[in-house]
Amino acid sequence: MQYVTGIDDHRTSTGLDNRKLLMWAFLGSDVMFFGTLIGTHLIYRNRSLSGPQEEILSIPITTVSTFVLLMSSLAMVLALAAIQRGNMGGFRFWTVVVAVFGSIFIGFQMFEFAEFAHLGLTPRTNLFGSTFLVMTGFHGAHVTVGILWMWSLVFASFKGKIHQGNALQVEIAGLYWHFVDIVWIVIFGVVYLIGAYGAENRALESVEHAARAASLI
Amino acid sequence: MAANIGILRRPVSTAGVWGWITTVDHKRIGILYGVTAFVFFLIGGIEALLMRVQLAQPDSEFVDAGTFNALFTMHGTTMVFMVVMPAGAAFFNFLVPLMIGARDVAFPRLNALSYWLFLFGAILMNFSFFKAAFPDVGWFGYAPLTTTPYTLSSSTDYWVLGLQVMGIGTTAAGFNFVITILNLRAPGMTLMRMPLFTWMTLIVSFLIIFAFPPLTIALTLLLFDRFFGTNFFDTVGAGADPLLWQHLFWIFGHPEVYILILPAMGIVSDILPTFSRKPLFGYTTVVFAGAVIAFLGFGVWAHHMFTTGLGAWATAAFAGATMAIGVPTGVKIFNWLATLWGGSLQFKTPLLFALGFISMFMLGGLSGVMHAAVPVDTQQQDTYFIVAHFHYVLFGGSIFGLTAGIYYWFPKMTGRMLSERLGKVHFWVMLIGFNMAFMPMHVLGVLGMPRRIYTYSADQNWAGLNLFVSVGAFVIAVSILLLIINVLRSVRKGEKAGMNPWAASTLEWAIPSPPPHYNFAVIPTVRSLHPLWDEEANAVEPPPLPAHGEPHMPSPSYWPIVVAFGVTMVCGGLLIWQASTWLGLAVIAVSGFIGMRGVYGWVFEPVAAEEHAEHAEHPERAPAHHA
Amino acid sequence: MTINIRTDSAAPRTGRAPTSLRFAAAALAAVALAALLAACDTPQTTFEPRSDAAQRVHTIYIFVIVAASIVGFLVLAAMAYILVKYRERPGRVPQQIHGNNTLEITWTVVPILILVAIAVPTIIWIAGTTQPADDDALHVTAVGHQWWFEFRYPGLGPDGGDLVTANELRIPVGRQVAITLEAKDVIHSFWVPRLVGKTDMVPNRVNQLEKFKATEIGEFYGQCAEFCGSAHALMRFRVHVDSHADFDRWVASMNAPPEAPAVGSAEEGGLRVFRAQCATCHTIQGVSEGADGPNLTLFGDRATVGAGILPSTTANVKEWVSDVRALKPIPDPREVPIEGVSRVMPTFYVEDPDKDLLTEAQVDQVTAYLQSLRLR
Repeated sequence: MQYVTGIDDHRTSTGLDNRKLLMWAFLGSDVMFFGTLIGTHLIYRNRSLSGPQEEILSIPITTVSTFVLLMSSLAMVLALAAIQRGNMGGFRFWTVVVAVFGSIFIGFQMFEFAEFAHLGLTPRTNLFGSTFLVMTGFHGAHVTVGILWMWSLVFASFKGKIHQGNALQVEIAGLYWHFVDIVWIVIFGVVYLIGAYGAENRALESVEHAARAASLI
Repeated sequence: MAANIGILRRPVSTAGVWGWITTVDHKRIGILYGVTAFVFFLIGGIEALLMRVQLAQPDSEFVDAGTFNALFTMHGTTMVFMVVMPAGAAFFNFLVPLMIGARDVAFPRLNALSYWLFLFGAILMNFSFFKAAFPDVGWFGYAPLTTTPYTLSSSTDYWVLGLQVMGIGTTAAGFNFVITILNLRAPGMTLMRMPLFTWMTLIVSFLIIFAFPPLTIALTLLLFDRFFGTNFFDTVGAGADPLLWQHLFWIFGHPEVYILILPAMGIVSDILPTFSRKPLFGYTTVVFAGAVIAFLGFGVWAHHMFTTGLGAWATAAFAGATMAIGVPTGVKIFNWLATLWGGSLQFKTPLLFALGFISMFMLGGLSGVMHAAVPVDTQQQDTYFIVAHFHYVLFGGSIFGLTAGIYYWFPKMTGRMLSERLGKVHFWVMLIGFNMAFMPMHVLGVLGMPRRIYTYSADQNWAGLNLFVSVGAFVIAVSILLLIINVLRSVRKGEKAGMNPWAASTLEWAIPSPPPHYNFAVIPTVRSLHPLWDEEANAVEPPPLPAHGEPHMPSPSYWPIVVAFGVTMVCGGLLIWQASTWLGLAVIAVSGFIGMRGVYGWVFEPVAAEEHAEHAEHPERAPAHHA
Repeated sequence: MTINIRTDSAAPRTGRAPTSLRFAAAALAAVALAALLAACDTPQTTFEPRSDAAQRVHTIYIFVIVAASIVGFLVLAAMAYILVKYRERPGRVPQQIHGNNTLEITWTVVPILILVAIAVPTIIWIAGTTQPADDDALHVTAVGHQWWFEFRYPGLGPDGGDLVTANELRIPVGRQVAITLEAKDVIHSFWVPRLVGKTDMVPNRVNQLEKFKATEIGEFYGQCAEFCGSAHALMRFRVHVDSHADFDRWVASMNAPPEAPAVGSAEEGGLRVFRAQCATCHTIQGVSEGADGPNLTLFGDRATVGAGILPSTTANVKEWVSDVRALKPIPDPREVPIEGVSRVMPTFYVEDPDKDLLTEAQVDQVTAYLQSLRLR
């Protein structure tokens, strides 16, 4: 061991910024968070005793909102690229696009929840209502935090606190945004596509079955 | 300047009570964790003694059933979440930056927030005592007993919310230590030159960030059931499956077991080389074994559920995984023994406790392997055999290991030595009391005594052993009294310790005791696993402060305690809401505002106080990053 | 045999040690435990199996205890040797060894072999539990309630329905018993240590207890093993293993309505009180059709009252009927008006005319009536 003076205290052992590493660690933890929620939903699939279940999920509408969220991720990439080049106008434009697209997604979700309530599905209705609404609700809360974050980045940039020199701030927000987007892809795939597709088929089968039964008579 | 936004100016003084409340110094936070954990250790211990008085005789009426159920619930919850975990955190905080040659943790204010959340969460849960009653559903709170039809009292709400607040703090601390250890190591301190305790801290921190989310979710779902009428655990009306809770809880709960034991393993792994005067045998193997234990720890949770009817093949798979986790554990024990082999053993108090740890923990490990054998578990599950087992690993393991750490690092923390003579008496009394209290519990389990019963009838003939156990519990209490006397005497009158009283090899011993607030006047450059045992090191005295004076350290901050207060009182508001909707909503709104205000102030608070504003222009003199 | 094994196994697992003081304490403790064990008759012990299933588990139990004790003893002995041999002595300079691959591989592989030796019987046992029940097995459904056990025998009741009893399970010796486990409210666990290991009773799930064949006639202690609320400690039960003839006689008696009590007797008064106050909850075959409460048919033959907690003496039955809360910490029905949860027994007589639902004389009559319900 020896003492060498003049070592830069500012360096990090991995070369990665502490805050960026923190975001990665947080996202790792959040994987478990959503993994648990999605797992809970899957465990309780088809166990509800009454009330609407997967058949009320609308794949067409959700496909649109999923597409909007995906596009917001694209905008996030463009926002980061812009600020790294020092293009503040581009950064602000694309960041606002991210926030607006995120808000559209939240709008779809609010519409979906209201529609379900209209059809008699609330978190108190049955197991499906509890698991589905709490899971997607937590995802919506994550998106909402992201939207607020985007707006605060834009405002901070006007105050001169976000600039090319600390594009890392935007990169970290971007990591979060992309993660939330990926979680939605998983939910869309596992809960909507696989779940509701099966449910529609089952519904179709029973219709066909009824039709055949009717034709026999 | 942004600091003017604050209602509260950035504090500068580190003196007095306010100095402790606003501190962001990892060493002070470590001491806060340690003292708080010890206070809760006494509370949890008193709960245990009351239970032992009750069980000393058959058909006893010392306490009633409800009180007894609350006692074992709070004893378990307290010892796990308010004693062993924060005691581990005390050592993480005090030691890790010193061991890796850093000035502080990566995020000093986040670190303070972790502590305040832990303290407030613990107080919130214990506050139930004044409001309703202590929680009485057992420390793993199995649904549906915890749901509204079966627990009307709000005590369960306190339990849920208290755990939730503490869990947020713990998770934040997990992030902090992962980043600190990965990013703030001194030059030359490669991962494979880190002291074992630092390695175990890193592994525990990873366990925390991956294991706590399932608990957070489980508690949230239960909370939603109790407050908002969701159906996650509603077995009566919605057809819920009670095993959901058990899976979620134990996916957290088993890694939690390793969160409790790995710090002690790290402490022992650092103590043995010092008092054997030779390096740890198979350093790489011991590190790797710790990592394997942590990894497998996520795949064995269902061994807590062998009797729940999981199905034959799931049961067999989890039994196999559970036995597998015994292998790296055994490897560690053998490596410790091999470290002693060929050494020159100095039987100082820290070594005695470390040896107590190895032997008692091994016995707990062996009884653990017994109930990995599923047929045996059908006879042992939920009996005193299990109670004996987990006290051998958590008391014989964690507490002995942590006590070894207290004796070993007390000189570093206070600058004074603990009394060796009193320390040795403490060790023998505790070892004897421990075995008197917990060894006969194995036999009680064999004789069919279930755990968590507040009474038993005389015809079971369990009375003699129970009386013996209760006497043992009081012997343990005496040993803790000896520790308190030793600490109180030594803090004032103990022999001066000097920099390196044990002639140990790791970096924390290269600086004065207690360390200055900036830790290292000059950051050391490390060339080996044992920097202070290198030949050249013997001649090296710590260098004087550089010409520009003390390294600049982050100023204290009010915001961590403000945010922690806001978060806790939002939960408090939820509890009030149940009794009075509007008052509850008002409390939630006000404390939510306080919390948000705290976050806002935090984000825009500069690294340094205004009085030091000129230093902000020299970021290279501040610690790496400040959050 | 079992006693020997117990003491053998207790000894090596006790305190361990570098010094003679530690050994002395450990030895003393071991001797004390062994003495206590040998002196006592412990009805709930796991070490005196009286069924084929309990015996199978016991064999594995002894094997793992012996294996663990040998490992524990060897490691502690090695540790004691090291501590004595390598204690600090003047002039000793330890060699700076950093490790040894051969040694480390050895002490990784050896535990693996030991664990495999334990895993094999474990897996074989688990596979055995998946076997279907014998054709002539007696099927029983046990239902856990806060804080008592209900036992239903499908097909043995009146008109081929369920025969129902509570807190005292009767089974024939030597015939396989297949018990299905259910729970009414919270999780409970069914455990009769000398006959069979425990399996949990979980709401909304149907579990199968390990099938077993009792090998000895007698009375065995059972107890709920999963914490289930305030009176968990007092949720006990008994299993009576009967001869085939006794079992058949009991089944026949359970299905026959009791004889009408003599006119003017205390029992007759008791029957009237029973119909008025107890019959909504308690069934007595041929007398009442109650829901929620334990079935009381042939109550007079039960060994215990209050879910296995007290001998069924006149005084105890009387106290139970008068003031159940003096004997068991169960909630007051007035404080638990929750839907879907079983009703709990009211307090009938505490010498408080404002609250009492019965007079002392009526309590005496009900007690006499219940005790008259006996096997014929």
